Amino acid sequence: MEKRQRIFWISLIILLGICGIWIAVSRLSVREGNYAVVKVDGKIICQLPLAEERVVMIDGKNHIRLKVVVDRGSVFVEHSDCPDKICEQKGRIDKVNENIICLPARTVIEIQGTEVDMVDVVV
Amino acid sequence: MLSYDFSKTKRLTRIALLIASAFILSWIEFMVNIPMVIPGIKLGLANIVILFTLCTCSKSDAFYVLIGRLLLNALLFGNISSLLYSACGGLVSFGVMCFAINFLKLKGAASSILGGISHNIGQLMVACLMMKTSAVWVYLPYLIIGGTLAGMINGMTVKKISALKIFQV
Repeated sequence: MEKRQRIFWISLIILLGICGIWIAVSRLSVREGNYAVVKVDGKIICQLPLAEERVVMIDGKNHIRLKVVVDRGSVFVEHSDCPDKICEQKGRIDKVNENIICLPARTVIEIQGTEVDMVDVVV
Repeated sequence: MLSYDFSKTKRLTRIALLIASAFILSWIEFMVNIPMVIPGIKLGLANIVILFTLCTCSKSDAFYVLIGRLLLNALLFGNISSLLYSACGGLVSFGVMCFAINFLKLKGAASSILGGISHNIGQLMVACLMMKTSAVWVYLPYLIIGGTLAGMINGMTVKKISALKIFQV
């Protein structure tokens, strides 16, 4: 095999190894989250404690509304107006650093261990 | 004697054919929702056509096919924001594949794998800027592995198709 090709395959294997270790580390260091932080366009819209059952309607960008449901200690998107439905397929999340992202609505739902600073809050 | 240079017409037809096939592959991918580990991840079958054009025709042909496919996709399945994502991923992977084939002289699936990985990184960069959050980088290791697998499949497909020599340029 040509030298260049060999360098490529070796570096690819190293890269995949790093990814594997990265995934393993993030899987091993999971913590149960306490808050779901909802951000639209980078701004925190609301923080939902996972312990309280709640249904919230979020107004995302491009006139997309998301129905976010918190129950049984986890959060999920029950309905979204956007055609992709990727956020609905993602299902329930409850671990720290897990997230649900809706690209068209520019909305992110992140799980945090503790409440974050409310400096950026708009509502 | 009447003479006419047919090379331009040939090229036009060739690019139109390739755009049509790239578009059909995108459409198939859009219609058939294969369940994946991460929701929303795709094989990027249209990249087969881009890579094929890059290998058998020329860089400029491949570029026109890419632009044509991006615009058609945005018009029929998407909107401005989806065009931004697909254009960024497509252009980054096109640049990387050109570099890999012409300068690094990589053969086989190698350039396709690099293209797949860079496509995902390009889209993540747009997502990071658009959403104004770094949370998207959590998906990076999954997307690198996914890009490698998809690139491998696409690269091997291109190798098989090129070997058939059904498309003489």
